[in-house]
Order: sequence, then C-alpha cells, then structure tokens
Amino acid sequence: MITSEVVLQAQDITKSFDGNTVLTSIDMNIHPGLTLITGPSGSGKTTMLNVLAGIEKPDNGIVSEGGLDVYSMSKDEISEWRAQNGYCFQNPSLLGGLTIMENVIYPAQLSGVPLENDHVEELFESLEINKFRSSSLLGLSGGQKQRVALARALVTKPRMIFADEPTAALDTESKLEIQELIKKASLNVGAAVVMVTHDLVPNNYADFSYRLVDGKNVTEKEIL
Amino acid sequence: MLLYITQKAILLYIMNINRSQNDFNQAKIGAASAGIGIAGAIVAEKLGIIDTQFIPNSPVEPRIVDGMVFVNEAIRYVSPSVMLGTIAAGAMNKFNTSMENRAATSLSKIDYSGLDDLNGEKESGRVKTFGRKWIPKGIGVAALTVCVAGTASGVENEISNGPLRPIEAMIDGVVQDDEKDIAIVLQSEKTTFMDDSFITISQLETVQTEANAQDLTMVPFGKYLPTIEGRSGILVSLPDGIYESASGDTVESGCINPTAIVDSTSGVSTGNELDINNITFEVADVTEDGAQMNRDFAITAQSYVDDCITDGEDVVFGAILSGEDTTPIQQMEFTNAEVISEDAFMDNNREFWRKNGTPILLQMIGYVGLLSGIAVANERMSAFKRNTRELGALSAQGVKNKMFKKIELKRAMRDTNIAALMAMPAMPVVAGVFNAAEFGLKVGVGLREVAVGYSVALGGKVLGNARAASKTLKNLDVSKAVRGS
Repeated sequence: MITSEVVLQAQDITKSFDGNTVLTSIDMNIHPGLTLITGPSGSGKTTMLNVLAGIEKPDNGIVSEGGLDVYSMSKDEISEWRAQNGYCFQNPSLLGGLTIMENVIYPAQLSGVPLENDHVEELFESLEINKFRSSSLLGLSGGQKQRVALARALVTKPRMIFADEPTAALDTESKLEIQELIKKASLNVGAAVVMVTHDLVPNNYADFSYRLVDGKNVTEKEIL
Repeated sequence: MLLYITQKAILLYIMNINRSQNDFNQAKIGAASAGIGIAGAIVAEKLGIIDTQFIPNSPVEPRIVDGMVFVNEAIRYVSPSVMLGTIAAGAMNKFNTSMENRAATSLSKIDYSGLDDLNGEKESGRVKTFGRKWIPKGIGVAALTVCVAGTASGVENEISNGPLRPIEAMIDGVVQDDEKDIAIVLQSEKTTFMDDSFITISQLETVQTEANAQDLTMVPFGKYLPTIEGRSGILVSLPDGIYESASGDTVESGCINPTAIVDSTSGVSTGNELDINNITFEVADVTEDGAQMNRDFAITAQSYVDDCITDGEDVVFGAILSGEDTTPIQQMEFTNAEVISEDAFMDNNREFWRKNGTPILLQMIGYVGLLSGIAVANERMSAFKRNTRELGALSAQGVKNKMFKKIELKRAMRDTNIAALMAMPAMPVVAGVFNAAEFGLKVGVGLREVAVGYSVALGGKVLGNARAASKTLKNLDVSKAVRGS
C-alpha cells in the first residue's frame, strides 16, 4: 500500500483511437519522486503519459491535481497548467534556428513563465551544456541534445516532469548519463517525474513504477 | 492538326518506352493532355464558341465605379500611414524588452524547423518530403506583390493625372505669373478637355466686359484633336499675339509657313518640320511634359488653326481668366457659359480619366493582394505541416495559440519590410518598361506607390499567416505531434 502524497491523480482513464481501445479504466497516482511507466510496445504507455501531461484528453476518466480536473479547464488555462510542468520527448524537438540558450528559455518565456537567472546558470552548469550556450544545435551529439531538452524541461522549476522515452534513441553510455541527470536534476528542483521507458534502468532508479499491459494497469509498485 | 498531334503523342510514347515506368507514365499523360487540350481548342474555334462571352455587354454601374475611385483614393492616402506606422511599430518593438516579446521576435525570424533526429542532421527529412525548396517563400511572394501592386498604383495615377499635362502646359503658356488666381470659361461647368465646348465671340465679349471690370486678363483658346505626325494629338490654339510672344514667330494669314510649339515627347527639335492633319508646320519651340499618353501635343496660333486646320468657325473652346482674384467673376451668371476655377476644371478632367482607368487597375491590385494572401497562407500552412512536431512540443510546454498568432503577425510585418526593400529597386524598372512600351506614358514610382504595394502585401501576409496559423493550430493534435506521427 503506497501512502505517499499524491501530486497528480488519474482515475478510470479510458482512451480509444479509431475504435481501438488503448487504455481501459486506468487508475494512476503520481507521487513526489520518480515514477516509471513500463510495459511492452503498444501497451498504451505514451498515451497514458500524454493523458497525465494534459495533452491527450481521455474519452473517459479524470486527471486531477489537488482536486482540480485538468481537462475541465479552458484551452488557455490548460496551456498555463502545462507551462508549470516540464516535458522531455523521445525526440527533443529543438528548434534548429535558435541557439541552445534560446531553445531552453524561449518556450518558458513564450508561455509567460518567469525565469530565475541563477537557476538557469546552475542548470547549464549541472547539465554540462554551458560551453555550448550560444552555439547552434548543429554538431551536438544525441546525448547533448537530450541534455538541452532536459534543461528546457527543468528551467521553469516545474512541479512535474513528463518524459517519454527520453533515452530511446541514445547509445548505452548516453542512456545511463541522461537517466542519472533526469533523476538528479529533478530532485534538485523538487519535481515529480513521470517517465515512460523501454530501457533497462538501474536498480532502485525509480521510486514508483506502473506496468501497463494491453492498456490495462497491472501493477503499481513502490520501490523501497 | 489532330492527326499531327496524335502522331506526336505516339512518338513521345515510343521515345519514352525505355524509361522508368514513372517517367513513361508522366510523358504519356503529358502528351495525351497536350493533344486533348489543343484538339479541344481547335474544335471550339471551328464551332465558333471560343469567343462567346459569358456576360456580354454588362452595364456599367456608376455607383460601383464611384466606389472604386473612392477606395483607390483611400488606399493611396492611407497606405503611407500604414507603411510608416508598421515600420515604426517594428522599430519600437526593439524597446519592448519583455522576455516574452524578445522570444516571439526571435521566433518570427526563423521557421519552427527542428532537427529530425539526434544525429546532427542538418536538414530534417521532413523538409525534403515536403519539398521546401519548391514552395514559394513568403518574402518572395510579398516582394512580387509590392512590385506589382505598387507599380499598378503608379500606372493608375498616371492614367488619371497624365491627361492634365496638356492643360497645365497650356495654362503655363498663357499665365505668366504663377501667383495669379486662374479660372476657365467653358460652355458648362462639367466640361472636360475631352468634351466639345463652343464659346461664341459674343459670349466672350460679355465675359470680357466683366473681366475688365474685375481687372482680370482673359485669353481665349481653342482645343482640337488632329493627327500629329500621323498619331492622335491635342492641338491648342492661342490668340495670334500671345502665340507670337511665346514662340517668337510672326503669324501670317493664309496658312503660310505655319509654326507650332511642340512637346518634346514627339521627338522633334526647333526648326524641324511637323505634320498636323497633313499640313506641314515648322517647330517654333519645344515644351517639356506637355503630352499625355498616346497623344502628341502642340500649341499654335488661332489664325493657323482657322486657315490650315478648320474652316474658320467663329467659336473657341474656352478662355483663361487670370488676375488677383477671380472669385467675383466665378459668381456671375452668363448666358450659355460658365466660369469655374482652375482647380474645379482640373478635378473634372481627373475624375473623367479616373473613371476609365481606376476600376481596372484597382481590381488588378485587389487580385494581386488576394493571390498573395492565398500563396502566403499556403506557404505558411506548408511550413506548419513540416514543423508540426516542433509546434506540438511548444504547445505541450504551454505556449498558447494566441502567442503563435502573435509570432505570425510579427513574421508578416518583418517579411513585408524585407519584401519592400527587395521590390523597391525593381519597381522603377517595371515602370520604365511600361513607359517604354506606351508613347507619352510617364508612370512614376514614389513613396506613395511603394506604400500602396507595401500595404497590399502586408494585408495579404497578415491574412495569409493568420489563416494558416488558426487553421493549423485549431486542428493541432499536440499528443500526435510530439510523437512525430
């Protein structure tokens, strides 16, 4: 029985695409710390993450933070809610025409989220991307780009970070590096992390984990 | 012909037989389409239906013409404010140092293009898929719009105002002091230079009496539309004495050694011979900027006109009154004659020509703006499609749709500024081609024309960008976009 504080709650989530049910009555509680969502391909992990992240409205069910139903908000309110969270995608979707610093800070600035200079500097130092800050993305390795994406997710000091297989396209060494950075950096900013992954993770890497099979939540586990 | 086309199509078929299946199909379709198209046109020609107009002889609706003249005038007056205001807004934007504004400004300078994967690929595969290099760039479309719409406005201005040049040349030839107030005696106050006006000598005498009472000078003049060097021309006649002092010629009666002052557009010099209605005139002097489009312009003595051109009718077109103040005589009533101010006469003439040229050219400007908007919307739509993943990522991070629209508005303004800079050197060249192609045409391009082109392009870009943004963002599936599907 998991007794920790719940920062985000999903209840009875059902989602279908073109008549194909991807998620069936999923319940999921997100606690402070790092939560993994695992499962075989096609089990609905990414869809569930997107539902939690406020970017995929479920057909049925509620996603709530502090009792407030995320999907009952207006379009602008939901955008503001998203802006308080961080996102890491499998493909970092950085903008080629911007410098690394601009890629990190612009999404937050466009969303109207105030940034703290000290925090930005610390983030660039801790993620070891400071020396590239004024450079373009060209020539960066996959791992370096994912660091930039991680900085972008963390720059607002988010309450939650949603990461969708952020290490899937990386080599083994980079995978481990990024996994560690996600954990370390999110702990630093005090964000709850929800991460979908196919990859093997080190023992005791996550605090909680959910395993989905065929769109159904089969296990919830607190890793002690 | 049909047989020939069929043979050509078969030849193309055979020639392409060894190519790849795709090329072969393309060639076959192309040849067959061309054959059908040409054969269809020939049949339509034979049946006499090709020139059948769908809406023949549409009546002219004066209110529409008036409306177009008004709209054109409004565009020409408002556009400089739009252009300078937009440029000022762009400059002032630099003083808005809010983080949000700086980020939006930066994004408006680039597309939302990302990198396709994590391997440092310079251009994404999606760019290649959507073939960006074949899509007309928004700036290019806007530059073309500035050039075409701006030059069209210059042509409109020339067609409306060019015909005033002979009148100005005539008045300048008669009135020595520019500060004098000028009025014109005509048969009616609505008379233009293209109408007939018959002021009899007895009417002139009545007006002269009144003019003397007001200490005004009166110079009667005739206006004729003969052929000059075989082309349509305007010939103005002045009293012999005035003509003599202007030309230095001594007028002889009986059409002996007639002379004329001729505009330089005719390409003649003093002393040359000139053909007016098959009578040889000697060029006594040359004026500048007196001709309108497609018409030579000359001034001669009334006696030469009476003896060489006409049968000596005892009427003139009108008379020019000049002095300190013509207002009192303008308020007098004459039998079968009106006295109107020079400005009113000019306005009548301008209005006449505007109603001929403005509707056509305004429609041209409007269509260019519309096409520009459509082209720009398609270009932006394509850019949004290419970069759906990056847009989705930004949206997932809380960037609101209205911020994307703000970025697109900034992009429209910036692109139009660049487009105007690109178009400005081209506009005088295009105007020059018009002028070279049409005798006497003096299309000019100035700040107002650039402003009209700029405003039309800006309108097209703002509407195009806004439409692309709202249509794409409305249907943007953020979840799908960030997954890259």
